[in-house]
Amino acid sequence: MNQDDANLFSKEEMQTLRLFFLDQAWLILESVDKSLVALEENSDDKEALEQIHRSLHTLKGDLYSIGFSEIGHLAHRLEDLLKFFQSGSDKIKRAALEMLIFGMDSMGKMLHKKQHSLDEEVENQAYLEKIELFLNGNSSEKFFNQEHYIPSKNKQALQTTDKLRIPISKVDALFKIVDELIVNRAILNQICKGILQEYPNSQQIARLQEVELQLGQKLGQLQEATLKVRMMQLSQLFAAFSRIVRDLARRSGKQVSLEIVGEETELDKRIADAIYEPLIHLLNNAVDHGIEPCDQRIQAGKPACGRICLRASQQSEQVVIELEDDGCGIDLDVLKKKALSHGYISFTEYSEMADIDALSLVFLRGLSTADRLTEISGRGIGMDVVKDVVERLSGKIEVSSLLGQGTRFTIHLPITLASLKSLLFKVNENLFALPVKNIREIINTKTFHFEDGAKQVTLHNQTYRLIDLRDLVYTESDKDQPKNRFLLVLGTGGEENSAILVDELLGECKVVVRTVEQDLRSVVSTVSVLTDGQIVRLLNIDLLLQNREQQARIVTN
Amino acid sequence: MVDKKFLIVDDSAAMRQLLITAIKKLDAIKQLTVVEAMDGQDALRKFQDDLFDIVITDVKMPNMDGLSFIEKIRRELGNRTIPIVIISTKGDESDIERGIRAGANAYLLKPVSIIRLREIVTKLVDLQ
Repeated sequence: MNQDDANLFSKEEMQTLRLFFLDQAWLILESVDKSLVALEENSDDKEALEQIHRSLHTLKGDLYSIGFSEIGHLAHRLEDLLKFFQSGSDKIKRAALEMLIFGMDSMGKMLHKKQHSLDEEVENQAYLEKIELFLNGNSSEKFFNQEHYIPSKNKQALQTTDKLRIPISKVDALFKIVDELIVNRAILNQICKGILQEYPNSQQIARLQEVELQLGQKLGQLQEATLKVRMMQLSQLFAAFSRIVRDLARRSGKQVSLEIVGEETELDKRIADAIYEPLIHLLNNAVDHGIEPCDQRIQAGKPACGRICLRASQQSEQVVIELEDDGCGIDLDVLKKKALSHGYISFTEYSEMADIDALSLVFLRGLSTADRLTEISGRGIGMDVVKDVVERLSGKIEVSSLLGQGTRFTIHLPITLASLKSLLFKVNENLFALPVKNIREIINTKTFHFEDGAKQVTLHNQTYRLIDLRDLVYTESDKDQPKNRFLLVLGTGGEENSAILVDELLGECKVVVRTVEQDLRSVVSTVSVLTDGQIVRLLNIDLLLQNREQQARIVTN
Repeated sequence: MVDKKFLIVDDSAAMRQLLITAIKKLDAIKQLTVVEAMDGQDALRKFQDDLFDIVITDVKMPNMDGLSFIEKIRRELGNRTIPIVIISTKGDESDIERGIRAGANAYLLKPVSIIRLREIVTKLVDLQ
């Protein structure tokens, strides 16, 4: 469809058609996935072959017809790939099948992107080039003879790929409503308690409170259930990695095998999507700069084939992804020298720096010994960007390394950014929330004494820095400070132990974080609006403690 | 202004939707009825059950392809008059020739030009 054709339709008609085409394309993709798995089991499966053949043909026709030519073009090349598959020997079949799987995955990615920006052309260059390279066969000899050719591990990935065919925006919308309900319920809970105090003997109110409690439980379940919708298995993310590592290894003339453990671990889709590029970067680094060439490895008494291990696991509310290689490790001396020459550290620091501190230099801009343009991501991202992405996702990244033995990166990510179990409280009549994980202890101020305006407080023989949130929350008219206030003792996350002082506790709730894209580095990391117009602000405690100058930002109206 | 009944045959639901949306915009048609079929076999059954003003069909389809479907209409059922339009990705001269020889009145290539399709339909079902 060209522009003239498109002009015949109204904007709405065009939008509806395009979305319908995308839906259909997804359905076809799903059926091809199934047939590919069948083909992997039996490369002579005539029925599967015919099904794929027809599907690709339909996809091509559909995509060109609606004007998604860049994706149609991919379908076209996949048709060629299928012909190649049919004509080839067993060895070729195996490789061609892997390529087909890669192609279908790529198409999935393109469709996904298209769904988000219907009017924009989606990048297809990288995918096409790969397939082209394969079809032209100039590297196929080498390709097939690769000693460490990794057979497809995609079966499970294929079966689970894109079961979630709901635009994430719809899930987000659902979330928002659940979120508001939950906060509403917290307020209802407070009101109930208030009434009960006034009329302690009312049967009706006791009944009301009972119902309110049940409502709370059901809402909690509803929230859990909605949360699960956002989860995807990491196998979907990792599916492409075996190929990527193989390609990287081939290009650098090394032998590398990739072991993947725990790919069934689930992670919020938005987080998983965001962490994809950083992981590729780490893999890239591991192959290019971690794993040594075969002869060097043999000299060092290691197996010729390098090993990278990607491990994922869930640890309470976090997903931990470890990427470990058995390569040469990070040379701290080189790293420190670089840091010195970049002016990041002084000469004294250079000579006195502990190894563990020196290692973290790897995350500084321009300092990772491996900064260069990566072919995979198409743009040069450095370790600083990797760290930045992880931290934006409220996660953290650590590195450990032994010279000559290897390097390990450990990434901790929250399972979801969608909702954080939080304590709801009031300061100067404003609603705030703080993730429960940050709070170690809650103390009513009537149980101990401290000076007004004190900057420190001693608890259990330990001194805590005291932050009175009243100092940070400005309102036009300050309400009187309640007699009893509450001290929230924070976890030992920051450098110093701290406690914050709030006015009134309202109970627990889960606060939904609407978008991951928003800057999580501001002190107030998310804002929920209640239906009655009240606003609850989720505090980002690390930053509250770190950037004291930013604190003034919490200005309410 | 006239009432018209179309038979649209394509194994792609998306394509059918596109064609229907395009045809619906033809102002000369007062009441448009569209019957959809997803392959030649399905189409043949529906064709025999009803009276259509035009058939628009894909070629490559499971069970029975478009060419066989057209041949059945023209030869077995002996219907020489109903206008038939082929819309296909196959665009070699031999493909087109086979289509016309089977009995199609027009042969359009995918990606189909909606403007051209409207012109052809307008002409074939005499909408001027």
